[in-house]
Amino acid sequence: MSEAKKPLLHVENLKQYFKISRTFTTKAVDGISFDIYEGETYGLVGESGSGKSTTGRSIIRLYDPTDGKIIFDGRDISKKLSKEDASYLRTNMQMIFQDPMACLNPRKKVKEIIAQGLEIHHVCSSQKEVDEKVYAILEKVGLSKEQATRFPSQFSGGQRQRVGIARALVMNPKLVIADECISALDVSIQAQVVNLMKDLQEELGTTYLFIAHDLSMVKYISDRIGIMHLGHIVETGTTDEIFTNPIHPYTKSLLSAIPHPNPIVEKNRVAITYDKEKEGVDYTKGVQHKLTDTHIVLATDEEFARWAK
Amino acid sequence: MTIAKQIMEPMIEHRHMSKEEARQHALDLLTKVGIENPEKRMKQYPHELSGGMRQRVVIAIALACDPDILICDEPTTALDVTIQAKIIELIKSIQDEKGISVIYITHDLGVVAKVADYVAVMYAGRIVEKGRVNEIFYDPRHPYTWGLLASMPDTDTSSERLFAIAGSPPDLTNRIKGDAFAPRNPYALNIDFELEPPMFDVGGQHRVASWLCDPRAPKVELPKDLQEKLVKMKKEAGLA
Repeated sequence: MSEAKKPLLHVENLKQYFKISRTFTTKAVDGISFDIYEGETYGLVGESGSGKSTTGRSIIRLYDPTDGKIIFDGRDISKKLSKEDASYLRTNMQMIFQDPMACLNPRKKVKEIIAQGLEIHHVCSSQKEVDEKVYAILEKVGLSKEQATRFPSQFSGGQRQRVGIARALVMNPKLVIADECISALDVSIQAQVVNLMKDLQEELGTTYLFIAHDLSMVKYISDRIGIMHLGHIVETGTTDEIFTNPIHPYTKSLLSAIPHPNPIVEKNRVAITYDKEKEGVDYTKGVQHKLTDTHIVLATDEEFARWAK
Repeated sequence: MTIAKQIMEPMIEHRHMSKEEARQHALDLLTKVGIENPEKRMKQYPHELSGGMRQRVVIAIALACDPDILICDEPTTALDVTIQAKIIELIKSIQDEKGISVIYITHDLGVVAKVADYVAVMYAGRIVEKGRVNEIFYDPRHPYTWGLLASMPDTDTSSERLFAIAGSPPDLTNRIKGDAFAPRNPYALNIDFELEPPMFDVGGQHRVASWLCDPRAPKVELPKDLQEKLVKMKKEAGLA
């Protein structure tokens, strides 16, 4: 990632709070900052409840952010959206969801599902053009024209996820947010979908925000990775930096928890555990420590000195 | 239904315990599966618990009737890696303590490597390869197992592309002629499309349902990536 590249998405100090009751507020995302450059894939990794999905949903404005700045392609989209900005955002940023069965309308044919975005935003001038676009994108994701008139229930899990990807990419978006889009699939199908997403990126130059909890898959698709824990990005860096030189103990514990398909090694391996309370880490006190231009760790000076050893 | 009711129900129904006995037993079970403050949790509803905790409660329910066999159907697939590691530890510790057998159903080969003694690989309703865990991982014989092992992401290699098995699983509502995996199998022989392969004994407890194991079949080299992967795996395990 050269310095000259301009970020497609700039997130600064994003906060997303949910008021549970009069006295209690959940801080799902608590002040995170990152940039995503054009044409790259940024992987956001963390355990359940770390706020990674909330981040994705705030960015695409399914939620109204509590505080912070989101700049997408030069437009501030963190405040109330003007009509023009809203329509720009809705066409140029798309999302792929985790459960393709839940996010595809079961009463609509695949063709109608994919065409819906095109129709709402009046992208095409004629029905013929819509059809052409739908068939072209179906072919790109590896589905046939005949399958266009089927219903989502007639597809397998992997195929359904392909429909989800087609639905997102038909608008020719600049940024695609993929929220756990492979977590529900089995390994061989996961590999197919990851390869497909990579191929499409090469062809169309799309930028991805790839949200997942499985570091080993994220490694294959991401250029840079951010590790989230309890609403904070604790470490971010290029894929290489995170895998070869993890600094934060949470990153280390995540890396050590990945099961390896090697029975003799695996049976004797003990995962590193990380307990925030036991370590006495307070994320709100941490500041960003730069190891390199891209590798940043959230820690206090004392913690950083201890971890970096 | 509250957690308490759900754990107590099988004990009252099948073990004819009194409510008080069942309650006591449920508290013990919750403590055993690592839930802190069980008194409070008993009164709560499932939606009030986190994913990892819910899975622990489900394990407690499964253990309520003191089973000899515990069937775990993808118990950690929806959980993230750190919680997954804890749940697997838990299942193993219960297994050691009670001496029960566990059938672990999963698609994650990493998890299989961690928990299993004995592995059966299934495809389209049939077991295509089975054997001791070391036999399957260090000496796989069925092309489908090759594909599964090759498509496992590897945190150490720097290769940019993942191997994927082409195509998708067959539709089981149609009758399948020959080997169900043949259309996706780059090593398929002509006979694979005609006749379903029997189980071949390849030594030890290792059985493979593939015509490639027939003595008359041509010798097939493993895919190159997988060969390298296997060599590396054996080296790490201190076998080579």
